[in-house]
Amino acid sequence: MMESTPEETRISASSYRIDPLLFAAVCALVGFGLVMVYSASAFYAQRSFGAADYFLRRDFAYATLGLCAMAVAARTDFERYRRWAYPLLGLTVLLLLGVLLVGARINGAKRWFHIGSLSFQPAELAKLSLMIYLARSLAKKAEKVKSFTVGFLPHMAIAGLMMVLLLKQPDLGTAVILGMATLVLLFVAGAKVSYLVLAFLGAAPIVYQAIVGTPWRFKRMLAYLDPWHYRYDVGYQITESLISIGSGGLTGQGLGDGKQKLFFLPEAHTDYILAIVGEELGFVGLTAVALCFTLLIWRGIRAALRARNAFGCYLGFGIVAVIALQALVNLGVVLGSLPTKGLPLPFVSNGGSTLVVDLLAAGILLNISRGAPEAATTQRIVGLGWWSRLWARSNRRRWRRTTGERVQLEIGE
Amino acid sequence: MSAWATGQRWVRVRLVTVGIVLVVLLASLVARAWRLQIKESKKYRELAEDQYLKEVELPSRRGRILDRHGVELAASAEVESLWVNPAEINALGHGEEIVRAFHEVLHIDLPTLRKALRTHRHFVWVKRRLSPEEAAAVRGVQRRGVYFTKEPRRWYPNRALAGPVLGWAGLDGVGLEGLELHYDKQLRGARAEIQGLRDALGREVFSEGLETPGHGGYDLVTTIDKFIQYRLERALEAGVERNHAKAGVAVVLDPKSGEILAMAAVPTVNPNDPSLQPGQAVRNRAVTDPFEPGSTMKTFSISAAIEAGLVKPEEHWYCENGKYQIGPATIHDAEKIGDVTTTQVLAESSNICTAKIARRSGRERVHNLLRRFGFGAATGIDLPGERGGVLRPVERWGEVELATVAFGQGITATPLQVARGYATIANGGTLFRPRVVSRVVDDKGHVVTEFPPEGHRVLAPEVAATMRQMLFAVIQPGGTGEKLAIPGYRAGGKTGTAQKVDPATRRYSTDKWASSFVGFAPLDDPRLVIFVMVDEPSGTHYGSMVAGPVWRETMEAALHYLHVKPSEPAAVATMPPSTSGSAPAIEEEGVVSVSEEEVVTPGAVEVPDFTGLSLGEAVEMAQRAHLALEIAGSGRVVNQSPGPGRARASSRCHLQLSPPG
Repeated sequence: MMESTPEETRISASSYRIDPLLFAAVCALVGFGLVMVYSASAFYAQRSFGAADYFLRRDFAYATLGLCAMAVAARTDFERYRRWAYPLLGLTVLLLLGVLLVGARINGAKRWFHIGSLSFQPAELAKLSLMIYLARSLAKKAEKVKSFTVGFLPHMAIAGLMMVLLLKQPDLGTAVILGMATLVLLFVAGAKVSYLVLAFLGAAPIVYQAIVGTPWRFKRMLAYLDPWHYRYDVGYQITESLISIGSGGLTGQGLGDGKQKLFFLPEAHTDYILAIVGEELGFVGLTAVALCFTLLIWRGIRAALRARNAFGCYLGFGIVAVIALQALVNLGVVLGSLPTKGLPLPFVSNGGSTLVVDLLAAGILLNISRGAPEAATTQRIVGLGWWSRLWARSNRRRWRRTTGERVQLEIGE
Repeated sequence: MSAWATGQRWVRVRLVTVGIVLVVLLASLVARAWRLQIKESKKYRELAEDQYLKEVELPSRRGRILDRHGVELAASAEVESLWVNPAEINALGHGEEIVRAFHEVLHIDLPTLRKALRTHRHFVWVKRRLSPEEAAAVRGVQRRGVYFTKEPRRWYPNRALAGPVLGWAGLDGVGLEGLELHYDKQLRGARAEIQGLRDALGREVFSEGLETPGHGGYDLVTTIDKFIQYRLERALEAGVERNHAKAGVAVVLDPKSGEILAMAAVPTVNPNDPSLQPGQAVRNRAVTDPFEPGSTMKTFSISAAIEAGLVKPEEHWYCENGKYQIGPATIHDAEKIGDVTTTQVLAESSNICTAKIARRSGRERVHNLLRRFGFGAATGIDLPGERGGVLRPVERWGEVELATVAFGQGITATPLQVARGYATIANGGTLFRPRVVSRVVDDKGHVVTEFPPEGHRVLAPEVAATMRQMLFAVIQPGGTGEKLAIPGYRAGGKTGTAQKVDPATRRYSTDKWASSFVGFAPLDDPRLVIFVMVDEPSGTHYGSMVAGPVWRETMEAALHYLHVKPSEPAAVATMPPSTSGSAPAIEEEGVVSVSEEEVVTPGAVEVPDFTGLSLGEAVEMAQRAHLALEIAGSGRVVNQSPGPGRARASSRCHLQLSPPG
């Protein structure tokens, strides 16, 4: 079935519609996060800071800042970042080096810059700048991506450098996320699977050494394998998390009625926010969060597919990969399926600069989702267009190319 | 554009593949959540409840132990105990700071402290029952994660006074010895338990409702008289010291009820000593240590003969001049005695004639009387660890056994059993169950349980009266206790000088003795029975010379203290004026306080005139006078009871207040 749209007045690229579902998924997660942060932290905040809404206020401020950043990014043509890829990469590496020298040490890790009352994690920037660099480089090299020296080695070297700097902090969690996102992005761009397997195998001994060679990581590993044996030691967080989630049942104990946040569960409002979700909203709540991320993955990949060029595609996919992998690792940790990693849940966990950078990335993704006419072809190839069909019916405004050439949007077969 | 276009198809395939993998991974985690939340939910819910529905125990105040007049013998005070929340401290990262501060202030070694903090638990005791100075010092280095909790600490204001009787309670307020152990349940009270939500710091979060009714610990009102107890202990200590003896034990009984007025042991124990352990070698010997009583038992074997009408007090006996053969054994008397009456047999304590009298009674009669008097079985006193002594079955008594049992060897009894036997003769033949606690009262003074005297007749009053007269003769000139007469009072008693079995040779030792004296006064209406035994005195070992003075001193002081009318008015005039009134007598003798907190107030206190005073002034004055107040109304004191003047120690003064005008 074909459907054509009437010719309309010229509109600029920036006024192409962003993907409303993607936007909705991000907003739902942020809003949900605010509610859960309040529920999880109110008691602790009251006891520690004398104000139940201490963390809520902070989170709200960062969310507002982040949404502004998202709005700006969604209106800024992603093409602009192509130019900034190398300067950003250089800045990131400098910051990662700098934080090792002058960063604030919290719980034995040097991850933060403190400027006044604000804190900033270079690792957050690293995720974004590495994705921009990889997207630009992979788009440029195109077919040469398959080669080892041109397509594989330079990208792995840059990613490896960042990972090493992150491991120095130490921040194994972010390093692993970056490594996995890089491998996945290289895979999508067409790198040889054998190289990727090789890289993976090459990284394995390093990760093994990082775990076995660091007593606390090794203990975390043991706690992961048998949390109940280490219940009052390194297994404390994981067992308390399991108790929280398990006691939630199907529908949970009701929002705000969870008991574990009364200090049993450390960092309830940050890395373990999902444990509180599981306790208070039960399986239904966890499933809803998982569905939001599923929506985000789906619409994010759809945006990548519909990007008007390879740079947008890779960048969009890179952002989706980082967010999705981080969500997977966080959920896996909270459910006891993965060893403990200090990774927040994107958009939901309380956490200053993380939330801002994540929302900024989401804004870029939204901008990419504005798409291009190629999107029409994409729909045909992979058959992801059913929702667009509905969307098209209800909304007669159609996409146009920046060139001003009128385009007929083909829908369906 | 062209490169992008050519690569597109595969890029898209790969993109979608990765997307699907991500969603599948997400779905597998949702499946994991399903298992945790739906299939295993029950298990985790129980674990969670175990954590936060902890029974919040409200440790109830442990009851006090009071003497018969309400003076505190044991009480609980609240002191600070220090604990930390390692989880909180580790999260805040100032553990090392705290460790160093505690090390400096409390002198706990660093590794111990570090180890205590190395956990995710939320509650670890650092030190319990801090001294006020320690608590103040810790407050000086207060940090987050460091907490105080009030805990009751057991406190014995009179130090070692009646220590072996009171026993002691451990750190957690659990009775470990003595009355503290025997009445632990009543003293502890029913714990109020609140099912409250507990946060991980162990603090109650929400605690409305669900309260099970509890009550504080009950107070024990004992039959102990602090004054008599005090006098007995001093006298016994002096007696043990004077004779360089190994130990001493003494009991004061009210013969009319079986109430223990005092019970002492040397060496004694200060229950405030924190190093005390249960089962330590500090025994309440009056109930735990049976011994061979010796001559004090003659009273009972002669009673059996008198009761059966086989022997008259004035009947004559020949005591063989100190040496007498019974079967294979030779019996000796301490002194050569010839022809004497039955009364003199007891007064001069002849083993030989006692054996003859017992032989006339026959073993059944003697055994039966001893059984009736409670020998060979525990008395059932309300103290832990009581033993009953050994009274061999009558079938195993031969000729020799009958003779030796008659004068108190070959049988064992506790000091309490002997004292009770004499109390039975003193009161006219009723055997009472001895008691230390007369009633259990709640914090408002209402009686929860009362223990009335329990007794039954075991001897005819006439026989008891005859025996009293015979025992009176012991303290008369010519008797073994002739030096023990108390001016103004007629008394009865009996000496006991028993050979002890040497544990090494398992034979009677020639230099180890148990010297005792037991007696009652006044003779016609005995108010007190006192038993004193001094274990292994060196030098002289005669009961009258070793234990007798302790008995005499205590008896005299107690009779005066109880305002017992002297039975021989003539003798009153001969009494030195200093012993005419009990209270001043003590002060003039220079008795000092047994504890820093409380001066031993003898029988009476001076009640000041409270009339016209405000409440504050009255309380202040009462404190100075060591008086407890009961206050009704408000305003100024218009009436008081008792009125100004001398009153019983530890009595409460009731004040009626009324607004002026």
